[in-house]
Amino acid sequence: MSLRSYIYKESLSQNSIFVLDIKSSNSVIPTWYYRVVRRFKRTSNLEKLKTYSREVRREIFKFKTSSGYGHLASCLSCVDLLVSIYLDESSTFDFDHDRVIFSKGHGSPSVYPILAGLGIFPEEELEKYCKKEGILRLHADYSIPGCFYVGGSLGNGIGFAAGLALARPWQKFYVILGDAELYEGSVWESLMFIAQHNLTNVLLVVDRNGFGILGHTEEMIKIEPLNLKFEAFGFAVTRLDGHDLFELRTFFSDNQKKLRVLIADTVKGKGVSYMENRYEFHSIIPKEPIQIAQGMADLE
Amino acid sequence: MKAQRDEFLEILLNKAKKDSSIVLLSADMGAPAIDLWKSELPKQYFPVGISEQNAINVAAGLSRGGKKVFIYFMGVWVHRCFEQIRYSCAIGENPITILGNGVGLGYAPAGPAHEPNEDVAVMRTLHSIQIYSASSSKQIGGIVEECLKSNKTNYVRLERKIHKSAELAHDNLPQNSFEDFYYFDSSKKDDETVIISYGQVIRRIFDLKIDYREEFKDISILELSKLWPIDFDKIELKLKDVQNVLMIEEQSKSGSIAEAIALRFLERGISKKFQTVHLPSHYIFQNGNQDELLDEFGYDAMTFLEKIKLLRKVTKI
Repeated sequence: MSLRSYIYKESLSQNSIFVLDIKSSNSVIPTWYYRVVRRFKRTSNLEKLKTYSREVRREIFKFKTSSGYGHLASCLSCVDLLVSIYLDESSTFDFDHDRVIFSKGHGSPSVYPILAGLGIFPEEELEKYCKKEGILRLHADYSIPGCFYVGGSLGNGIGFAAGLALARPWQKFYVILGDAELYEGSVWESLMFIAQHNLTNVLLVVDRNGFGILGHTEEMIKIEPLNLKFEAFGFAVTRLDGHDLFELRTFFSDNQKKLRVLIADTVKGKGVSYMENRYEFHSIIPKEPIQIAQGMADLE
Repeated sequence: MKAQRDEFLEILLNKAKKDSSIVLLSADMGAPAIDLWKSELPKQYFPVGISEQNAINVAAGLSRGGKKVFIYFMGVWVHRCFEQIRYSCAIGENPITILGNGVGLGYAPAGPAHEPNEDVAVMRTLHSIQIYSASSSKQIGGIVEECLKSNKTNYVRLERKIHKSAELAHDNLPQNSFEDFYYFDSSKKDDETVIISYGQVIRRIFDLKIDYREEFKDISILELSKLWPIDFDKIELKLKDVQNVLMIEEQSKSGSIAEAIALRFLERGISKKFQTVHLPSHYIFQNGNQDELLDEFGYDAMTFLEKIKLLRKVTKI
């Protein structure tokens, strides 16, 4: 049996939808090889989880500032959500079984350090982010091990997840939505569809960092009161501090079979003092050495 | 005689009874065959309401989840969810089959919102899309099979009306036949002039071959069933000795199949005389049913003969 066939069989035995493999120039390296050497382990220790969050933010800051590509501030706001989903032992997320769909595709690189830390691909890939020889892109897509959706066009991941959830009721699909993404009408079309088919295996997570590219959402086109809007569409709403790992645990450890949405109040640019809550940093990445040094110091 | 949509959906229903992975989504469009799906296979049928964008995304997700997905709505709405077709299906490599009903002037006199005269142009810009068209019910079963076999996103252009003459023209074709194109030879062996067309507008050409037997006796017809991608090599071979080509489409010229064929000829240094009949390159605010409008826009014997005369007169370039 060829190595590729073996990996394919292996991924099927894990009930994965996709073949997880790593492509290097001449060979295919099985993912389980990397998973042996993983840096992050699921834990219920909140202090440890906080450490993971810091590490993830630092990694994101490093590869974004060294490459100059992407949406750094939007990535920083959803780190704790991802740490809670992937790394908190209390989370009901099953890595081999469930899928995270980044509807908010520009935030998807925030998952890369977590996947690398879990041994899904080599950590060196982080340094090659957006470089010709690397596998990690500005918007995650299914060619990247551990990623299952082509990011980059807002308002679509939620409907895609609804289709997957309908086809595969035995799996859970976590959809990360941006708050400004809620301007897209297709999101609300999908909400009606999810409610109609009672797709309780779709978990919606809104990264409510408050800002779109041009300013605060409530100063552009108001999206509040979000709780009432989601409730009106038939969802049970949980609203909490999206950086409080203890609070997040209450949501992600809950396995109730009902339509649920988490509105996670977060801070855009979280952790970097001069970026926090500044919409100007939506697509601007610090370039000046002094800014980069300050950012790294903030994230220590 | 059934409408193309009912023919397609009923054949698909019978396949779906034996294959639970086949599912149908309908975006606010009914049909007698839809009622059959509703009553006979309710677990494989999903009405999605007036939400084409969500419908395509859901379809892409179902496809990724292992289903063979068909989605049915008015042909003109491919414009509304073009982004989702491009993004979730084409880029995402999640193949689905879109059944677009009432293409061309099929919904006339409903006005330009309902009359896509540029859907072929728009859809063929998508990488990896396959576009199918039928002029008679004989071809529908074959197209169903093609879509089920395909690992690409398909767009099937369904004609809204039933036209007896289109059915008669295909009388000799086997049921459920499928060819990329059909070639209806003229009485002459070495063809001088060929009309290329597709969809039900082709019935007008077949009709003329009966009504104007003498004038059209030397003219062959090449009917495209797979509009995109075109097997240029095969067509090139078929038209090897043909001097004159008249392309008739119920579409506007910009981005048409005629443009693609003419470009191919140019790129290959193939010298042919080329004329076209197309819908106007603007949105049509004009009353009249499909046939009245086709008459208005020159899909008639006089115009066709005029074009053919011109082809025979003009020096080759």
